[in-house]
Amino acid sequence: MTPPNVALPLPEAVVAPARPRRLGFAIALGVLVLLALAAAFPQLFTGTDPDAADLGATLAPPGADHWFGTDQNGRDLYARVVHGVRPSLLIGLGATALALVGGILLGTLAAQSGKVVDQLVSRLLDVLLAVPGLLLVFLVAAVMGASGFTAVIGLAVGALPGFARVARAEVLRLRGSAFVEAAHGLGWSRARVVFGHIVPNALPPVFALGTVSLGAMVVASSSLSFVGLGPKPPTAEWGAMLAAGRDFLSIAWWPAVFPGLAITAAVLAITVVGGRVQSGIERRGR
Amino acid sequence: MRFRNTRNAATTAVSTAAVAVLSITLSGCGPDSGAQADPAGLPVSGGTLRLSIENEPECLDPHQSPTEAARALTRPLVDSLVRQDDGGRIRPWLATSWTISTDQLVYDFKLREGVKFTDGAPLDAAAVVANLEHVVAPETKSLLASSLLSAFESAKAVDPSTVEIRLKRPDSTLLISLATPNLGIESPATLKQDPAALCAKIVGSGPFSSPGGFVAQQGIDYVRNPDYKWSPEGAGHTGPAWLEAIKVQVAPDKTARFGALTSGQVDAITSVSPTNAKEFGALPGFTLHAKPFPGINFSYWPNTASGPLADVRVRKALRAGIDWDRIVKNVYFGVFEVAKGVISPTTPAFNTALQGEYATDKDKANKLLDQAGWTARDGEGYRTKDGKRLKLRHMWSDASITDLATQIQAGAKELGIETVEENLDGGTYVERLLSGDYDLLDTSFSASGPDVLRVLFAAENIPTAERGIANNISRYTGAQSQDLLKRALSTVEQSEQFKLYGEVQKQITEDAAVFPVYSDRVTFGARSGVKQVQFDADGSPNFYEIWLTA
Repeated sequence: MTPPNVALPLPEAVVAPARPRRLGFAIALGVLVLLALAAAFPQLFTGTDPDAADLGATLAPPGADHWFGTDQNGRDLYARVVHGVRPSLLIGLGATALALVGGILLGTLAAQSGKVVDQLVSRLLDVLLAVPGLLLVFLVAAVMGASGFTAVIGLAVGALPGFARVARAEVLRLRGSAFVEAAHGLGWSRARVVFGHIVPNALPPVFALGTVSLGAMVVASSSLSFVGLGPKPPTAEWGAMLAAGRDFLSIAWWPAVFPGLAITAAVLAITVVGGRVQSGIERRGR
Repeated sequence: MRFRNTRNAATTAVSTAAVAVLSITLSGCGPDSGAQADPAGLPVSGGTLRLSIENEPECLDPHQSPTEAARALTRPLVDSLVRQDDGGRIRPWLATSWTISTDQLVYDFKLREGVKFTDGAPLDAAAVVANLEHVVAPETKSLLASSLLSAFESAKAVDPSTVEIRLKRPDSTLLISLATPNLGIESPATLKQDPAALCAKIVGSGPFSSPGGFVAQQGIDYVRNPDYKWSPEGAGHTGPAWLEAIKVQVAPDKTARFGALTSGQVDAITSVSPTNAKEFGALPGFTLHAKPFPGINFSYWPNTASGPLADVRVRKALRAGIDWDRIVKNVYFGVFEVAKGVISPTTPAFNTALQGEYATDKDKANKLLDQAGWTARDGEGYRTKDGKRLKLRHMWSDASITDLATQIQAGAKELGIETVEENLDGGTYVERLLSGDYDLLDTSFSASGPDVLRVLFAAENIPTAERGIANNISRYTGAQSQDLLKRALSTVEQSEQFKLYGEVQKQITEDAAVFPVYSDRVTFGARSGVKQVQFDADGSPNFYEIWLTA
């Protein structure tokens, strides 16, 4: 659960991936496609109501009736894992998107404004960076109440400084480059130069950081739900399901294991695909 | 005429003897009074008990706080005038004897000599008067203790060692109330402080003191009172407590508490979860101590004053239509038993004849709902009347009942009733409790005698904005029950009184004013070196008797 805002990973060697890595990428991509489908159309995968409790079949082991077994309230775990894709991944996705947009705006503002604003923004980012990401989320949850929405806000605030710093560095780098000076020389307005030339060129590294941090964000959002700061029950959310299942581990393994596997598979797939996307962006950047 | 009454005074509580030492060990590790079973023999003095508890009180002062947590945490600090023993009998403690006037309105207590509070102040009649007056003073804002003294008129020091309490009306429960930590005697000097200061630290004459007091989110540390030599009559020993110190930390998560015990971080935990309780049998070196709670079962409470549950037919339908047996088995794995009565079966005066009324009968339930006019169904299968869905808002603030609530919701759905689970923060919960803006609530209430029926069902205990938090949360006003409760309060002859309480239960059952779910059980899990674990009449662990071996 390292906050995704530490530093850019080192660029990978510019060589074509070997065969096993391509196979891994294909599997990861397949998992992502399945997850996207399940998030959009869970009813494609199961017709069972994830919240329907069968009082006659609580903690039933996996079998033909219930592929993943049932939880302590007799709810079908397969249906809950499938319906859990959306809330479980959306929080991480939303937080990353929000942090990305906020980071680019703040970073650009810092780089393009005068010294005073730059110092102010940069020190503010330093302060945010000094606070561990999850603690920030606890703070947001304490002020705004625990929900999926506050989890998104909290995680985004925690990840924002990382994105803002990269954006600021890129903008500063580009500001001195020849094509920008040329644009200024043509007499273009400052806004036109910034938004027409500098920002678009500063985006790729920030996006690259976004793809790799998404996996960490998904883990962080599951952690929040695990401690009860995510969507409210009975929402089927993997972290919350894992937390509930842990109480029954000594008598039934399945309520904790299947949501745990789902989190692992999703994060692995996101990380593998994200890593590939990142190296793609960097290759093009060169 | 007045008569000497150390013995007869116990009458109201005598048959708690039925509850007696029902202290049982679920693990099969033998009787929990380890001192006698231990081959090494005698109790050993010394050592620190590290205890992890589930709930912390919002305020430590038992005069102010209504919580069980405050009761349990202050028992080591404050002594009471009298003690209610395991058998339910009232025994001398800070009062060595007492007399009761024939009209039941005047109680004279003779105080023990030589008792000192841990701040050095002596216990005298003036101190006792100061405590009683502190409890009933409006600025104390007492949420439970003052209701225990509802019949109190005045107290005065007749001489330094004699206290006279005058009542407005006879109150057969006074001695039992005086035995609770809520009416425990605190050092009089400390009572002059702001009530908020007492919420953190109180000073009594108990076997332990807590110089640091209670720290929210952390816990409380106790040290032994070396001068203690006034344990109640019938206690296991005299002189100071065996334990040298107690360190209590708060850990609301039950799995974390259990882990702390099994990994040796603490010596004992309270409120063992049912799944963990099952594990004790297979855990060498650990013992689960448990005792059935006398008092009110863990129950769902209908708002009988407004909303769909104001109709007794809907209430009866809910009671008959939900398979409570199955739900309790599902959620509590046989550790708790399903409840079939208004009070728990271990409470004196439990009416056994009513158990049949609590049987599951879905056909009957559906017929009752039809009769009540909830005949139509909407798209989701819920019953409707005049286009409105039969919807019950269940308000709660304690996440530990999530599974139970989920299964009751599923059971209600089978009847075509929607229950909406509203998990609220404390402030909103209290606001809506006072305004009666709910359909269902849940709670249990431990108490040593059937008088608890008055706490939960007397009309004067309905929570309102003017009155504040009180315990008649079904807002029940059934006229016959109210009359029976009044008569029981002024009836001193115990068999007669119990008969009246038996009738109250019948009437409440007839009015379906409560949905009993399970009979609560106080649990205390400990490593086997924690010896002589016993519970007070109200279910709090008795730290005075506990001793430690390796």
